[in-house]
Amino acid sequence: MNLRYYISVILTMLWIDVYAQKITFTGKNIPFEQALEAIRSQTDFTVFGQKTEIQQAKNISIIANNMYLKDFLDAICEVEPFKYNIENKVISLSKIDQQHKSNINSKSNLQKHTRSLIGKIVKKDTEIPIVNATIKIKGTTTQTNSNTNGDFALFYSKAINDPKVEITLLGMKPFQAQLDTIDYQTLKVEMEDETKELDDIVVTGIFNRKKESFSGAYATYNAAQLQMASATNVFEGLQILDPSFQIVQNNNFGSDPNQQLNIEIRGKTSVAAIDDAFGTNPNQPLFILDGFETTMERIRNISIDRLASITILKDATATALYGSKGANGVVVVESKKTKPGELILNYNGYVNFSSPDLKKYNLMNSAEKLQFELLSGYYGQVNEYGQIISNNNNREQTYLNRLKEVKRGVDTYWLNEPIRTGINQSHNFSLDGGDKSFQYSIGLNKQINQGVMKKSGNEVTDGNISLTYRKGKFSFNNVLNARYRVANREPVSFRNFAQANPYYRKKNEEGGIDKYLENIQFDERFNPLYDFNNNNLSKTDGQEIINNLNIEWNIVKGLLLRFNTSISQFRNNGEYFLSPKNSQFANLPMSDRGSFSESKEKILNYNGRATLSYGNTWKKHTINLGSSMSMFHTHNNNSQYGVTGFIDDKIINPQLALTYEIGRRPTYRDVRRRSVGFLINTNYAYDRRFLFDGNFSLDGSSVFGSNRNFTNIYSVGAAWNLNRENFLKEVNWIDQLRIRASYGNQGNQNFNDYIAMQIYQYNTFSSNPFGPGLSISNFGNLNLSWQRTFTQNYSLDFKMLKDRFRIMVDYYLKDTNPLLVSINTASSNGRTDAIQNLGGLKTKGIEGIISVAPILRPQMSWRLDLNISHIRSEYYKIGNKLERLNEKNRNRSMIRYYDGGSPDDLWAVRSLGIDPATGRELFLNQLGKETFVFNYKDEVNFGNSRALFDGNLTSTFYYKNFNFMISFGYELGGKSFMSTLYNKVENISSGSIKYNQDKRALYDRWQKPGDKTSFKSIGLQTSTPMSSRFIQDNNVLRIDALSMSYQNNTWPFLKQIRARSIRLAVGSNRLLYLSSVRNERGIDYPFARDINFSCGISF
Amino acid sequence: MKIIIIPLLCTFILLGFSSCQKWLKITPSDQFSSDELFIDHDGYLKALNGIYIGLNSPKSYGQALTVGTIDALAHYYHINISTHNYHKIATHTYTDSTSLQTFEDIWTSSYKLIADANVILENTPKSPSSALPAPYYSIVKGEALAMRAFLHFDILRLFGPVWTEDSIMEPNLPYALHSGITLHPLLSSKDYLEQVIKDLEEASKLLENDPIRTEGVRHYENPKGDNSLYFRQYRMNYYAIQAMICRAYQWKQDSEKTYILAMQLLSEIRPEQNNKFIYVTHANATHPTLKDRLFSTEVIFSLYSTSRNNLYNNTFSSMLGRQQKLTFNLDNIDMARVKELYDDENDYREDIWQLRTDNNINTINNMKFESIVNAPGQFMMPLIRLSEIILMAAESSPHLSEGINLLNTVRKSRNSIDLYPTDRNALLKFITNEFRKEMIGEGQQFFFYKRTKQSTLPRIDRLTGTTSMFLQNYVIPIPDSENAIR
Repeated sequence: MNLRYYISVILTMLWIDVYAQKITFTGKNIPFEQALEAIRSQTDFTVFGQKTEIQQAKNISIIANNMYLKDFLDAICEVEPFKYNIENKVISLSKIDQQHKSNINSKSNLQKHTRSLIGKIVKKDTEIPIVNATIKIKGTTTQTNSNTNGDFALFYSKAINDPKVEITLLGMKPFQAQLDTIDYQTLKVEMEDETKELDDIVVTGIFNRKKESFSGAYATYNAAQLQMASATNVFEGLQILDPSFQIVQNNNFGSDPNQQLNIEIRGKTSVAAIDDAFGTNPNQPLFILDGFETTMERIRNISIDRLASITILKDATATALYGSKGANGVVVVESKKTKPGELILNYNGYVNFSSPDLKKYNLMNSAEKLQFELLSGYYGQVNEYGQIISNNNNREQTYLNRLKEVKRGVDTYWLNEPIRTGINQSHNFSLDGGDKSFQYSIGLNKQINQGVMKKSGNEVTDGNISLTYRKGKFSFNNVLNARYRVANREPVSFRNFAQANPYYRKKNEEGGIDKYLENIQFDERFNPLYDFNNNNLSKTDGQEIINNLNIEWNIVKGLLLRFNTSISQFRNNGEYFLSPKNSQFANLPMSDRGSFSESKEKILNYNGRATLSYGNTWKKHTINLGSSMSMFHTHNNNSQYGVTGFIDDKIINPQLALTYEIGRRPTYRDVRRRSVGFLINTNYAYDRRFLFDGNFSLDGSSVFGSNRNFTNIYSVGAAWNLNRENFLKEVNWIDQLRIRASYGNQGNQNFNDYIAMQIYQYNTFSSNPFGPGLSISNFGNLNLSWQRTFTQNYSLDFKMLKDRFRIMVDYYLKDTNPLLVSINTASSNGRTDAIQNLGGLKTKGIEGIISVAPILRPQMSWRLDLNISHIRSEYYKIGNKLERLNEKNRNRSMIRYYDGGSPDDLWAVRSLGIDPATGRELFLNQLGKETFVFNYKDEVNFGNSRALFDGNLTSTFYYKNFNFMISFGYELGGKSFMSTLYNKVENISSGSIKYNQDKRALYDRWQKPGDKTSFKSIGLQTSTPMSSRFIQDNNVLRIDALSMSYQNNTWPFLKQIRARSIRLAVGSNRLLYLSSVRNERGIDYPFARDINFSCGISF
Repeated sequence: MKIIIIPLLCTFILLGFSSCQKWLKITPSDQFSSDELFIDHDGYLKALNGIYIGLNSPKSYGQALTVGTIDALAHYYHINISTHNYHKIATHTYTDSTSLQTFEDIWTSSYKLIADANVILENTPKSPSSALPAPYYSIVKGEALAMRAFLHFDILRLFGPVWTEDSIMEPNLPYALHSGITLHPLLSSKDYLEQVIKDLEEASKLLENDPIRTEGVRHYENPKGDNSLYFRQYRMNYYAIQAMICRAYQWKQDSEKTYILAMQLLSEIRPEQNNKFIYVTHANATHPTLKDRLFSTEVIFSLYSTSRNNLYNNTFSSMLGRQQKLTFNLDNIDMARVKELYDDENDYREDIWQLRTDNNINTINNMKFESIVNAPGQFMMPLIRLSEIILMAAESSPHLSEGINLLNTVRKSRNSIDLYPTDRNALLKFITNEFRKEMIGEGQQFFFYKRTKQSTLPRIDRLTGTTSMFLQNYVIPIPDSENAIR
């Protein structure tokens, strides 16, 4: 068994004709079975026969040296006469039974009248052999089971007319096939998971529609796909898999596990920059878990093993079911359903190591920093030899002290202080069981997430019990879910460590950590480590209990009545303590040092939905009708108080505070919100060729204000299955060709509760003999019309060559008109801003998936998927109404609101760079003339910060039990504002010179006449306006995911521990980030790279 | 089958639809929506009282427009250090960021209260109804209208021009007649003032039956509960409206009309004939413990300020540092400024200036707003008082002798000797001085100077003497939050 042998076998397998396969086997008086085993091991042929016949066969003797397979078979079948048949690499043996012939006539008759069926059962797509499936000839008792390779052989009577085979296995979709009336038949069976039914169904959360007859734009991903993309975070997985789903990166928050994510589906529909005016993010999609609205946070922490699928609903037809809330798209999450069957215990877990990615930091070392301070004139005027000639505020001595430290070799790297390799783990146990009428499932999940910054992280404990009872036409399902979450935040922002100077030592001589790095009066330098090590607390914990009850009544075939109710309660607590020792309190009187505040939140939700749906087919007509009525009530109650003045931080107890916060009162809010929805959904298909969808819903919400309680949402959609047309029916290589279109209006409720209401609040400022006084706290805008987004969607789905090649393209237009915008009003109106309807936002986008499978063979496949997304938006009819916002953004960001501009555009005055003679910046004004004068009036649209194209290229490779995946993310053609250049190379004010800066501030700034640099004079501390000099082309290449998994159910080891199957995987996320710009990433919290190991066993 | 299904679905949809509208009406438990507030007179009264309470904000009449900013502008206090909180204001440096913010706050808080008043007016029915029956109807509508005029009038006096034939024709201030967000057109000062008078006259008609006319101020609790027709000094009552009309005509430089109206008002409230507003008694003015330093019985309209103690502690208290304190001498106990103002040492009003020793430091303190428990007018901050009307009549009287008489009426009530000015100019000078003594902490003096176009004001950097005042410094620039939008 040397290497050459292996190679020869592989070559044999691949290249040499079936009959040219050779066997080398020698044995004397050995069991027949051994010879068969030799065939199995030395060729890729499978051999079958009735087990007893083979076992009872006489021993044989054979000497075969490179014998042809056919000869070998002939030789071994001689002794105990077998006849064999070879077809499609399967050898079937059947005994030429002489005994039977001689003994019992009837048996010989039977033998004469039997047919054999041999075959192999594999899982669809993955080609994993299916073990222990029951193969049965329909209407008889003749049956057998598949072996560990998924192979089987079955003999049945010729007497059966019209034989049909039925293959069943629990959890798999039953398979049936008509058999030919021939003596030897081989069959390859591809079985599908029962849950894979989802593949044919669009889970909208309310009505499930057959994929084929649905014209909306959506995408569904199952747990396995998500797990390959990201074992730890479903959102990250969705971003990799779907071109329309985007987690908008926040450079400040990095990979902070406790920070809210900003998620967009197909871009923005609202003016986002002023979202504080609305209280919520008006561009956030809606999240649905098992039919009910839920929070983003809930989905973010859900264990992937609990998921059945995630569906993203994108266009008007798909989201119309969610009425006035669907404008930003809907993410529908379905958890696993209980299945009848024997007791199954599953364990799934992962360990994830996340390490901070600090590659983009380019900070000065101690010598560089000191040199920079010197050249900037901080210590006084410097001559050309670098000597201080005019001492500034006695700072020369300070310089010399620091220089001494630098010369002694002090060069502190502060960035590694607050960080660590975070170890995240998740353990998920589930127990399923039950019979046809009663099933139960118990799940328990524990997640411990450590952030890459020390002291930050969260823990989630989640338990659920699901009970299902089916009786006749009724089915009841109740899921009780309880969850507890604790989150801790880091006490000091990462920014402070990046700002600390490298010429200070972290620790004093005794090894302790001092509060001051340097204690100069009015210019104290604090040690960020000191604050970090103080006993600060920023902790939130929350409990939630959710109970969902689902009752279904199958009134008659096709007519289904369903009631869903959900009650949930959330209690959230927040505790925040700032140690009195913290540097921020250093200059305050003792009584004001330290603070503690506590917040409490209580949310109670009731939800109910009744759905009546009917579906039937008459000849070529298929019709689906549905109507639904839903109601929603939420009651949110929160309060907060704070105390101040602490002496010590050893014990965190509000009782130890000296006083309440001066001039502040406890806050208390009690908000209720209700909504109802009525929905009619129709779907009609003719001959499976033409499909129509229509939705109409009437939504009422207490948010809409009393004058406009109700709003209506509609959508229409159509699709044409071209591949079912006669003219294409004959074209075999086309699997699917269909075009779809939809149109509809979508609503958005992600706005503050009372924007349309006039609200009075008690005036607690003073009191008088006239009783309480009320004043208007919120004027509202009673005449507000609701923000609507009109969406058009056009799609093409094309699959060919047995799914070797797929193209799916969606083109969409979104038009939000009018927008809801908070604009400034004249203060003589009694307020300084008001929410108004203004202008509109048009978005055009195209997204596509191109998928090619160069290898698509049993047991081995390789598929490449390319996702592309392109979005461009444009404001219109805004006029100059938002000029005040533009002014506000000056020197803060490059975002402006002008007609024709996009929310992502960067506006800047064109810069010609630094004048080598003077070190001052030269600009180009509107007339195209060079000028030293910066004027905001000269601003032009300099480019879009959103990439022209972005997406992922994903390669999945499957071989036998192995699965490999790698996914590259790319962003091409976008522009980026260089915040690091702006804040840490230039614009270093006299106040911020004391912080550490980017190396380029020392090396790349103008120093003397004739220097050709991009950055102004090193000695200038004046603020630089944001000009086009700080915009650069940004192209990004990332490795978003890299993973490998192995699945097995035949290991002997598994039998020993009585397990059914095992899945092992290793994966990595955000392994690599390459960008054409050098900008610091993760300002307040670093980004993390993840490597995870996961394991799943079921018993 | 199909025939049955469709109607079934439709009935399903319609089921319960009608009752949903009601279910969707949510009443927030910690707040009120205007729909549910204006359903009975109680709601209207609460909203109206919100305006009176809102006046107490320190950004508004609680400090800035009474004891603070406005009096600093009138050069009442000795402010000789540049770090003093009111230094920028008192030196008329209106472009300074703290000054800008101060006037911004005055402007926005006034217009906020105006908007509140407008919402009440917009929700008030055309005539008394079941939701708002008489007499509440006239109280709510009349007082809201009058408050709207009152607030607007002070905006005009502060941000409007010095009254000249040319300046009053220039459009420069918005008069808010509705609560919406459409821009209010800028009115010329002439039209603006007409609108103020129009609102006041309408309010006056509505409040014709104000119980103050028959039963006096009723400074006591209503035995039956609701106090909105009691404590009339603290509400925009009928007489306060009449006084406001007088003020408006006086601002319009229409002395004839001012005289007629002031005399008419005095004839109705003159203490000799009808005890509406009684002069302070000797006993009360000199009471050893419960002094009535505000002469509370003479006050026609005032704030009810339960936070007056805070105000005193933050502005006048002897404990305050030099940068915060408002006094007649920041440095020592030299009473020169007091002596210069009060010509008669028996004057009750001089009593507000007291020597205090705290932390071993002797200081001169303004005790006018010190909170004395159970003293008359403990929570009072006067906005209109009787003496203003009398001095108004004195100033506008066509007869010198009548003017002198009226002036001496005020002086007599203050325990001061009579004065005998020989001509109109001298009379005006005495009236100015009298006004200054009367109005300290009540926010009227700056407007008096502006109206009479005084070119000299008392010094702020020294205890005595005068300094010149430029007329343009009487005009406060309109804040950015208004200007930037226009």
